[in-house]
Amino acid sequence: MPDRGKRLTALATIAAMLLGASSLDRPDSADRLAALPQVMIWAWERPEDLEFLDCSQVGVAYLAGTLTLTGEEAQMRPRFMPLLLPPECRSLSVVRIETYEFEPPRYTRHQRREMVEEILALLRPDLDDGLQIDFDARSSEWDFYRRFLQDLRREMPAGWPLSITALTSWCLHDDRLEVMPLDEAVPMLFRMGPDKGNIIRALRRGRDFRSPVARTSYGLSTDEPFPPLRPDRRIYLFNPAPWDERALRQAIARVRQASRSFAGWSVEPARDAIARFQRSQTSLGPTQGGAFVSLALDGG
Amino acid sequence: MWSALIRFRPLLLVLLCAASVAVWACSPEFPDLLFIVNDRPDYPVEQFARGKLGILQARYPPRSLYVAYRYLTRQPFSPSEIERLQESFRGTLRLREGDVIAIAAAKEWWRTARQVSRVNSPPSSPRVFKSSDGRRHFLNCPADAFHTARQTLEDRIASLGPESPAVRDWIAAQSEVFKNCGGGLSIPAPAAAELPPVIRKDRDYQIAAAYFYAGQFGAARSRFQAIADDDDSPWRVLAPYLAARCLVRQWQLQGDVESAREAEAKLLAILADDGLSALHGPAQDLLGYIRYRLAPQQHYLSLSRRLLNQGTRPWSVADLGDFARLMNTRMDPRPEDDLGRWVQAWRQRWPFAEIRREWQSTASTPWLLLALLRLPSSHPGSEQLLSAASAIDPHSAGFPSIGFYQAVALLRQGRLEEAREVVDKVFRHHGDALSPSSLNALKMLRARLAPTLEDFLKDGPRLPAALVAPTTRDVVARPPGADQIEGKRWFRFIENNRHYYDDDVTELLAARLPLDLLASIARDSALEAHLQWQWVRAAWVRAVLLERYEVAAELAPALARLKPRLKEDIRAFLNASEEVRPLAAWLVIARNPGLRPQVESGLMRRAKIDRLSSFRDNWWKSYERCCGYCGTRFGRDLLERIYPQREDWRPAFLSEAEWKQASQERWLLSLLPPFGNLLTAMAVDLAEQFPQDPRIPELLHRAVRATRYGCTDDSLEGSRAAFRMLHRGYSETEWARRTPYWFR
Repeated sequence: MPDRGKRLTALATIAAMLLGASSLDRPDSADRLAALPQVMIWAWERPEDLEFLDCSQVGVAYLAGTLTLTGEEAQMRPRFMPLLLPPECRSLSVVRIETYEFEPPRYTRHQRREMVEEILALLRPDLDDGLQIDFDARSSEWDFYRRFLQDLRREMPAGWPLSITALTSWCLHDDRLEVMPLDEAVPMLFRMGPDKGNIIRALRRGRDFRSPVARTSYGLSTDEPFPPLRPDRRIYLFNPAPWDERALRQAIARVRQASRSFAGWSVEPARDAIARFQRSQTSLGPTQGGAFVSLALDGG
Repeated sequence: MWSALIRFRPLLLVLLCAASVAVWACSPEFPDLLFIVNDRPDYPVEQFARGKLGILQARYPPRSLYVAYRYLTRQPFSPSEIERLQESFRGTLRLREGDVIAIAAAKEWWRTARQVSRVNSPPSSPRVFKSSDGRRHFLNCPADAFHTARQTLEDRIASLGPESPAVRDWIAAQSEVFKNCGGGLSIPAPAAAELPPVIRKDRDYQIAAAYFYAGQFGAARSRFQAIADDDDSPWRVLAPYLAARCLVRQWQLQGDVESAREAEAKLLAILADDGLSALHGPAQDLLGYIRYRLAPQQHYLSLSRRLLNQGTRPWSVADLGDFARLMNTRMDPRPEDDLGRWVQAWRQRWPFAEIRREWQSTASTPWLLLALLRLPSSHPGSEQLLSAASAIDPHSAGFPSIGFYQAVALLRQGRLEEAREVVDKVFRHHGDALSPSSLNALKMLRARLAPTLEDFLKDGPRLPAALVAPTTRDVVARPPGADQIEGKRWFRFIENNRHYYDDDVTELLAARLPLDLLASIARDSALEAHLQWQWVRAAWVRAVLLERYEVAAELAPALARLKPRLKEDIRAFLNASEEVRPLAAWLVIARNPGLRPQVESGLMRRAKIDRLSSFRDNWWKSYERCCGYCGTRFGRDLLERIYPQREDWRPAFLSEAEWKQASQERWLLSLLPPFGNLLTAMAVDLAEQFPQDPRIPELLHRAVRATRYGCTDDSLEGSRAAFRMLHRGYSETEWARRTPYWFR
C-alpha cells in the first residue's frame, strides 16, 4: 500500500510537471520576473509615499488585496490605502489569503473559482509586472492551494510572473514546491516561529533550499536579524512601519552586510560533514546513522 | 536525574546563556482567550450604554469615554439616545463591517434578481469596490444601494406581478446600473414608451444612478436635479440629496473643494425646506462630513454642544463618529469644553500635573477618576485624591472605576488592608452587575491583595471576555448573546460557563509555589476538572523533575482519574519498585507530550495528551515556558499595573520556609535544559543504569524523537547520544528500526 501511494504521488508529480511544461508560459514569465530589481520592498495596507525610490535599484510589491476564505465564500477586500510611486517603478501586486480556524473554508472547486475570479478582477497588467500570493497554507490546505495556483496560472495574463511567499519549512524539508506552477517562491526568513533556530542553523551550515524556485530570493523583515544571505538572490524587504528613505537605506546596508558575511564563511558542504559523521559511525553499518538533515542536502 | 545532567553541563550553559525571545509566527495562528478587553466595553454594549460602566480601561476609545462622561456628570441618556449609541457601537465592533455588509448585500441582491428574472442576469454578483487610482480602492456601492434596489423590486413585483415583462426590464436595467460599481461605464437604455409610467420614472433614476457609480458626477447631478423637479417621480424627494452627494463624491475623488462648498449650500437648502424633512437627518450627517474635513475646529464646537444636548437638534450617529475621529487626533489648540478636554486628556495622555490641576479647578468626578488612573506610585498630593475617592457614592456609575483605581493606588503604597476594603465595597455594590472584563479585573486585584492562598485561588478561575486573533489582535468572538456569528465561533472553543486561568494565576502564582503547596491545590476536587487537571499535572511533573517520587506517587491516581488515557502508564509507574520508578516516570512523560510542569493560561494545549502537536506544543521549553505555538498573551496592561515589579513578587501569604523551598526549587528547575535535551540525557543515564530493562529501547527512541518534536537547544549531544546507544545496544529491536535518524 505505501508503495502504491508513492507511485501515485510520483505520477501526480510528473503529470503536474508536464502540465506545467506544456501549458504554462514559464520562460517568458520567468524572464519578466528576472528583470525586476534585486531589491523589492513590501508595501502593506497603510499609506505609503514611495516617491523617493530609485526605481533602477528598488521595486515594490504592494498589498493589492486581502482574500478571506470562509465557508463557501471568497471575499476580496482590495487595497484602500494610498500608494505613491514614481511612474517608472516596477511593481508586483500581492494578494494575501487569510483563513480563520473559527470559520474554516470548505476548500471547494467553487471557492477556487471565486478566488481566481476575484484576483483576476484586481490585476492591473497595465501598471504591474506580476503577481505574488501570500498564503501561509497548512499541510491540510496544501492540496487545495496547489490546485488553486494551477487554476490561477491558467487564467492569468500570458507571460505574467507568478510568485508566492513561502514558509521556510516548505522550502527546506519538502518537495511540495516542485509541483507548483511558479516562477518564484520567496522563503520568509522572519516570523519563523518555533523552527526559527533550526532553520537559521541549517542556513548557517550552508544548506540551501531544495526547490529551484525557492533559490532566487529571500524575504526579510527590518525588525529581525538578517541571516547570512547568498548574494545572488533578490531580496524582499518588509518594514513594520511605513517606508522612508532612512529605513530603506539602513535595510539595504544590512542586506549588503549579510551578503558579505555569507561570502566570508568557510562553508563546508554539508554532505561532506555527514559523510564524515557516517564514517565515524563504523559500528552502525553504511546505511544507518545519518542525521535527519542529510535527507535534504544541497551542499554549500 | 541531577547526576545525569552533570555530564551534559555544556547544554546547561547554552541554556543559561540563551535569551528568551517571544516571536510571532508567520502561520498558523489560533485564537486565544482574553480575560480583560482593554480597548472597548464588553458586550452587550447596551448595558454600558445604560450606565453599567464597570471599570473603565486606559485604552477606551472616545465613543466609550463620551458615554462614561455623560454618566459621570449625571447626564444619563434617553431611550432614543441609547438606541443611537447602540447603532454607533455596532458600526465599530467588527473591523471592515461596512465592506463585509456591502459584499453580502450585493450577493443577496444578485440572488434575488436571478431568481425573479431567471434569464439575463449577470453571471456573478456586482463588485462593490472601485479603483480610484489604479492601485487604491474605495467602497463605491454601499449596502444601502442594494437594499434600496431590493425594496424597490419587491414593490414593483407587488404592483406589476413577478412575471411582468416590465419587472424583468427593470431588473435588467438595475443590473446595468450595478455593473458600474466595480468600474467602467454601463448606462441602461431609456425606458420604452409602452412600459408603465412608474418603470419609466424608475429608469430616469437608474440612469442617474449609473452615471453616479460610473463617476460621471456632472451627468448624474443634472439628472438627479431633473428628477427633483419632476412632480410625478417617486424619487423626487430623494433626488436633491443625491445631487448633493454627487458634489461630495466629486470633491472626494477629484479634490475639487468648490464642489464641497456647493454641496454645503445645497444641503443647507434641504435643511431649510420643511417639505424635505425626511432628508434632514442624512443631510445633517453629510453636512457634518463636509465640515469635519473642511473646518474641524468650528465643526467640533457645534458637535460637542449637540452631544451634550445643548444644540438646536439632537445628536446623530454620524456626529458621534465625527467626535470620535476628532478626539483621536491631537487637537491644536486644545478643546475648550470640559467633555473635549477630558477625552483628550484621557486619550492623549496629558501629564498628571495637568490632570490634577483640572481636577482641582473642577472638583468633578470625571477628572477625579482620570487623576486616580494616572496617579504616580508616590505623589505628595495622592492623599487628597484618595480621600476624595472615598467620598464617592458607592451606588454611582463611576464607583467601580474610582474604587478600582483607588485600590490600585493604595496597593502601590503598600496599604493592602485599605485596598482590600475598597475592593470588597465595589464587589458588594456592583459585583453582580459587572461585565466579564470588569469582573476579571477586580478578581485579579482582589487575588493580588489576598491574605491567604485559599483567597487567591478563589479568584483564580475566570470566565473569558473574548477570543482574540493573535496577529491582528482583533476580537473575533465574545460570549454568547453578542451575535450569532460570534456566538457560533465562541462555542467552537469554549464550553458554556467554563472557567480558565489568567496569567496572574499561572505565570506568577503557580510558578512561585513550592511543590508541597502545589500538590495540596492539586488535591482540591472542588475545582472544575480541567482546572484541577492543570494543578495535578504541574505538580506531578515537577515532583518527577525534583526527584520527589513520593509526591508523584501520591498524585498519580488523580492524574489517571482526570486523564484516563494515562491509566496504563500510571499503573506501571505505581507498580514499579522504588529503584526503577524514575525509569517508569520518565517513560510516562516521554509517551505523553501533553505533560508539563506549568499551569497554563487561556485555552490550554488542544492536542490529546499522548499525541504530538503538529505545532510543536509538546512538553516544555523551560520550567516557565511551554514549547511551540502554545498561546499568546494580550491585554496585560492591568497585570502590569497590579504587579508592577512582578519578577520580584513574593506572595505575602507564603511563610518564610515555604518561600525558601519555592525559591530553591525554582532555581533547580531553572537549570534544566529544554525538554528534548533533558529527555535524551535522562534516557542515556537510565539506559546505563538499567541496560537490561525492556523499556529502555522505547525510552531511547522517544528521546530521539523528542529532539525533533519538542524544544531543544543548539547542542547535538543529546539526540546523537541516545541514537548511538539505541543502535549499539538494542539494534535488533523494533524501536531501533523505528529510529533511522537523529536530529539537529
